[in-house]
Amino acid sequence: MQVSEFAISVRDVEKSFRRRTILRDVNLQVRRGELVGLLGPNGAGKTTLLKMMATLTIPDRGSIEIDGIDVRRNPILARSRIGLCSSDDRSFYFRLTARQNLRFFGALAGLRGQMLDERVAHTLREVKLSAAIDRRFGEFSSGMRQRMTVARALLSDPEIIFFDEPTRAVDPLHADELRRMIRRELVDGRGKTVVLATNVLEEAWSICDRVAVVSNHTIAAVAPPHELARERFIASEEPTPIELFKAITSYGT
Amino acid sequence: MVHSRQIASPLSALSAALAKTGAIFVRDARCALSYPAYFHSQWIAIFVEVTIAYYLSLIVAPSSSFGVNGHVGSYFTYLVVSFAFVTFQNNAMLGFAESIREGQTTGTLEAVLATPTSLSLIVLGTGVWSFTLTLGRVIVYFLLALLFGLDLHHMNWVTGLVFLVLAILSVSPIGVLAAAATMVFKKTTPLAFSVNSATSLFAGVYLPLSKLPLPIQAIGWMLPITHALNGVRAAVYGATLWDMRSELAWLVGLTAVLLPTSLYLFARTVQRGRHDGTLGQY
Repeated sequence: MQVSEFAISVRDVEKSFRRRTILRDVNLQVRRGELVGLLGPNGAGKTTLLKMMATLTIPDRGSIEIDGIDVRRNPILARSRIGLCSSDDRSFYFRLTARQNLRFFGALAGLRGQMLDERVAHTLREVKLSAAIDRRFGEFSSGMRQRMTVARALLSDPEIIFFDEPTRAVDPLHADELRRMIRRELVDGRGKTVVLATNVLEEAWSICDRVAVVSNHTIAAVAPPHELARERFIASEEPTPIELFKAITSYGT
Repeated sequence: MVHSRQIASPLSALSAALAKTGAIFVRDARCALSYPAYFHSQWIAIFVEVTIAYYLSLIVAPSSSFGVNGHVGSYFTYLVVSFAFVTFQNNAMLGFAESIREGQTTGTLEAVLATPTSLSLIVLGTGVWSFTLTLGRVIVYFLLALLFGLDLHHMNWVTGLVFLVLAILSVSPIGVLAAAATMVFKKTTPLAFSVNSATSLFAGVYLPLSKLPLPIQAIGWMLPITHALNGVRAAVYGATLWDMRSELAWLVGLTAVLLPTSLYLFARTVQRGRHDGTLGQY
């Protein structure tokens, strides 16, 4: 089988919920080993796009391929290639410990035996939760819960990882560590392909190779961060982060 | 990447499915056991139910209506079998649906659906712990009932075992349908409670179906649990599988039709949730 240059291909995708257009004419191609940010304000459709790529939502039109696999035709195979770090930090079993939760999700991802135990321990180390491995998830702070969602996404060591606002509830210190881990360890170190949905401009700016601006129900622009800024501001201008965010997310409007 | 990229041989696919089912079983067992007071109270409930059955049987004379094939049977045996086995249906009606509902409210449903696991395995897997627990309850029912004088001297264990398995298999589709309803209505349907209450009447839990009006008999005859109860009661009096062939055929036929139908409908409701973007809504 010929291996495509692109790990993710989104072509002409449209999505509406109850006749309300969420996304239209969405096109995005993500190269292998690339970190692409989806930047947009709340409600822009970033999570919907991410969920469509992760097979949890079906597009009304268009096609999405993950590693050359059509997500609509073969969702289970597509899921075996991806890790999803959702923005819902409650999505674990509160009565189970971190280890028990990850063992469960790891087993569903196809891991078994010693490999499963090793991956659970490894991913908890990666997100700095080793000390809490045998604590119940219900006792975790919101930041720890968020880091658990990251650990779950990394469990099966997938080639493609989707992050939906992974630093939303995390303190600045851990948020910075998480960003560095995504950029340096996952993308630069291990060559993973990452799509990161965020509404934090600094996050997109600091770690993404390219940023896709989700605005006006579509991807209005895709470019390396500083190219996007250059198009909106002249070199001598020094916009504040708010001005920059407004300018960037107003693409396409 | 850690896991295998392609679907391998049927044997390894089966082995993977069993491993995933085991993980779902362990999850449900751990969650259930993490509420020790709730978990242990059910054993007390069994003791109470068997005691009630015993004292009721003291005021209701043995009758051929309670036996099978002309045998005179005791009301105690009749009630113990009913109470023990009807919980398979009650658990199916509530267990599957509550598991889906809990997944919707906690967000775990989406997380589970994002894994490379088939829908059938996800939904049927949720029944494994529940049915295993019910099986444990059945054993405790019978052990306690033996202390109260339950007579198992004539028990045909093969017939009993076959009907036990069929009881589980035949009520599973009802549970899957309840889970499908939960996917659509975003609530464990109140219908589940009504159906469980109605089953007590229509399946002849307290009274032999033959003593009830014809329309009720007709409805009861269609329910799988009625035939499962008949089969187990007959096994207690020594009936062979051949003696129970019509009940057997009905249960096998019903399961063969209902199980794939219910799984198909469940898959459709999940697909609908994926279209509407309502998988995780509640």
